[in-house]
Amino acid sequence: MLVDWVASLYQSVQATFVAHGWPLWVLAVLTAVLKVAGVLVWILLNVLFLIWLERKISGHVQNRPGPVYTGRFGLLQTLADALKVLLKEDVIPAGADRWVFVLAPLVAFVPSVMIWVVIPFSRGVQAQDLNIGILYVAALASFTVPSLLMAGWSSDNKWSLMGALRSAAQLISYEVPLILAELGVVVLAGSLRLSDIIAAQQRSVWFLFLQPVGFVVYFIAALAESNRTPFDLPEAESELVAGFNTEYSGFRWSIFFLTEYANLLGMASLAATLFLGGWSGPFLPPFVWFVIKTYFFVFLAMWIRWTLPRIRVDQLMDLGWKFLLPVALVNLVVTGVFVVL
Amino acid sequence: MALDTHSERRTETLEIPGSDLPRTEEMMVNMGPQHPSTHGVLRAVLTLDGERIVDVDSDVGYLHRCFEKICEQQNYPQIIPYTDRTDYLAGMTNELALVLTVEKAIGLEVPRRAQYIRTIMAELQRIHSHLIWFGTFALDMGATTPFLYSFRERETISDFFEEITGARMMYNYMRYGGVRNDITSEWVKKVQAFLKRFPENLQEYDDLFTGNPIVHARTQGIGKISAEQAIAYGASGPVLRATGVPYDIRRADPYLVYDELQFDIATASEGDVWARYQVRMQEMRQSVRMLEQLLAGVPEGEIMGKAPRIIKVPAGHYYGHVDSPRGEVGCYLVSTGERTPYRLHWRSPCFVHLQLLPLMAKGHLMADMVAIIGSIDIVMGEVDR
Amino acid sequence: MGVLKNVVNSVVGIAKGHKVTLKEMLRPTVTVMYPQERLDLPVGSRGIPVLLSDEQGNLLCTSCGVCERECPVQVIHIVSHRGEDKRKVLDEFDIDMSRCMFCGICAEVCAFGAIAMSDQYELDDFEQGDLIYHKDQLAAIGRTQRTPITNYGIKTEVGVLDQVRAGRASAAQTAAAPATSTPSSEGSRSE
Ligand code: SF4
Ligand code: SF4
Repeated sequence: MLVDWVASLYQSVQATFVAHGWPLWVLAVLTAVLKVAGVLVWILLNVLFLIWLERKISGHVQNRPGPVYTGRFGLLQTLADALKVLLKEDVIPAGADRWVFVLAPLVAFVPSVMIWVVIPFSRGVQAQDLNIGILYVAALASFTVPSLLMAGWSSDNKWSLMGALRSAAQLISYEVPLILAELGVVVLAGSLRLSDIIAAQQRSVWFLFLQPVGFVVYFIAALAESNRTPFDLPEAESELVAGFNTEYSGFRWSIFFLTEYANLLGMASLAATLFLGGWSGPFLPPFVWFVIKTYFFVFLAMWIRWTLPRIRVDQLMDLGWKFLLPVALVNLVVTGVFVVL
Repeated sequence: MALDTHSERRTETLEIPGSDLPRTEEMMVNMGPQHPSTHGVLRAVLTLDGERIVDVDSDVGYLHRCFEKICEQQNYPQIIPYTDRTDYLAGMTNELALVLTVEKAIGLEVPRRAQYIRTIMAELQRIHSHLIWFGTFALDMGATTPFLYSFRERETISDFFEEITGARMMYNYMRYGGVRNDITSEWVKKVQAFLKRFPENLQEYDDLFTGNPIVHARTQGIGKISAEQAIAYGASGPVLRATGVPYDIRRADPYLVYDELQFDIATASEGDVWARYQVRMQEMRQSVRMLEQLLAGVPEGEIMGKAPRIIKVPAGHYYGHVDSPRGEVGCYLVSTGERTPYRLHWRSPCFVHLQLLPLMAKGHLMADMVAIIGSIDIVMGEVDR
Repeated sequence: MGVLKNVVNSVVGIAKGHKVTLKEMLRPTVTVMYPQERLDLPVGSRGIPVLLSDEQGNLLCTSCGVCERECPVQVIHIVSHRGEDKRKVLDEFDIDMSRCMFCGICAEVCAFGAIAMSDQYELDDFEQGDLIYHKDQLAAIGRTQRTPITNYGIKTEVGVLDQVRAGRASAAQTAAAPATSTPSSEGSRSE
């Protein structure tokens, strides 16, 4: 297996380092860089595929074929689009707050990559198995708010501002039920570490069955967190033109786009990890299971996106605070009582 | 109620939702003329308090093409293609408004077959136009898929139009005294086949969109107007009928063969976005019903009556109106007996309905504005003419 | 209880929508891949108006000028002179396709059936002047008539418009050749 091979390779390299008396921190830095590169490649490849998939799914839902010309089944369409976007003129509006405007996409993108540090791809394949894994993910998720606020504020555009304010309200309100839903899982597993959560699911059943309510809350909140229809208010096209990224174009816009899909992927893989037992599964290699489960959620999110209309901002708040939050709280309490008994 | 001044209009609004909420600094936003959901080039200047709409001022004229002035230089047959371009989503009914007025003025007889064909076209046009409305309305609400579905069916109707009239949108089909081309029996069969499966499609739209709780939440109680307000402002068509007033020119002042047809006037009582939505959905079903009766009984005969070679309308003032998919399209014609009209005024329902926008939108949220504009089914080509 | 009923209703409503989209997703697509596939236009579809000829290839047009007068946007331009036998001879017959609205009135008013709406509609060109179609070009398209006139329209050969356009380019080239002696393909396209 690849994993074992990598592990043995690491061991032999480490042995070489020790034998030659080279400082071990070099090795640590080297592995860190490799891990980051690996995660980046994984994200970029997946996002390329995801965008293609979204267009195909939306196409077929709407009785059209989606992209067909670039490459087989239009698979290279995203690549072509990315190229086009990169070649575009980089426009920064005259009234924009330059630095904030430039920084905003980066602030959005970096956390969406950092989430992948703790996601277990397969047995032992994980950039870093933090013991506060879920806490870390939750902390990173809250980074999206400042980035969107920055984008909306700095654009010097009223639509952007409105989009940014909407997103701030939305993301903050949905973080609460999201974390409460995750806590239900944590209570069951007794650990914040993602590998422990998977192990706990291997011992019993998928937490989807023990935490159905928590799962629904998590999924709705996660959709809201990743700004997808029906919760795509920050960029609500028909209302706010393009919301917070109205003034963005070219590669800055593409970074926002990338972030959106990276977040979707992160959300889906976390859902797979927390509720479907992550990489564990019979017959197929663990990594394949991980991909299948992740893409199951991705498909679900896309299916929902191309079916539902957009919810209104006050209804969004109502749903978050008046429905999801109490439900998540009750769920958590019931889970706690259940575990204690 | 006499002419409303702007200030009067403000005071007579229904109880403004959210008026008890704390106020913040107001912000002026230009919605349009380039905006994804102002249906063309409507510019609405919104005064917003947060997301809440304090005031709306609609600024029209971005699509003004001097339609009425051009008509003063064209002889009567030449005007027909221009009417297609006012409300470009319902060309047939616009043409009807013009030709019926002129026919009334010169007292032309129209053969029964032509009358049937005209009615068929007008009702097909209603479905055609309502399908676009349905799609764009769903699009405004953030659902992209219904748009594509409705356009799928609309394409079929466009094909029907193209086969007979030669064009998919700008038909130039009605003639003084009849219609341009005859329909064939194969065409009738094709349309009948379409009408058979169209209710299934409507059911699909209902499952996908009408029954969706998000749609209910976003349309019910939004953009409410009372029947009195609607009448005072001169609303017509689905906007008026959604307030519970069963006024339909097809019944109130029957033209063509509408008085021989069995159909219900679709109404709803609430006067909000949801009511207008339901009225239009019902109207499509009623149109199907009418079309079934019409297609079954198209009489044989001529399609053109004895029209003079050169159309001259006797001096005088004439008004003709039809119920277009959007409301009452009226043609006010002043003639001095020449080959060209002295003055032609076009009463366009969308222009009238646009005046209701502040009434409907005040106190609602930014997102509702989109739903409201969608629900009055605005076509800027008709507003600006 | 009311809340619960609400939730159940909402879920049912949303699930129904998803059933529809899933069903449609599995259905074949309805797209016609336009440049490769073309829909067969019904006869009578109004593309550009063209001039018709008789069997000998002579134009049917008698230069009566009715169409010129009746065209709502005045885009037909006719020049004629009296021939020896006092009959009008058509010198020029231009239609400015950039302003023609394909209304079909010209075809309707022609008492001689000399003009008909063709099924050619792909009028893209690089020069605005190229959109003014001249007598010979209109006649060339009209000579490829495949169907009798139905609803004032005819069907023509596929691709004839491209041929006409190519012919114009080469004609312009030969015309420009003696003057410039180095015919450039792009530069000679303008009038
Ligand atoms: S095309 Fe017909 S109407 Fe026009 S000038 Fe020729 S003969 Fe007259
Ligand atoms: S189709 Fe209409 S606009 Fe075009 S040349 Fe003929 S009459 Fe004029």
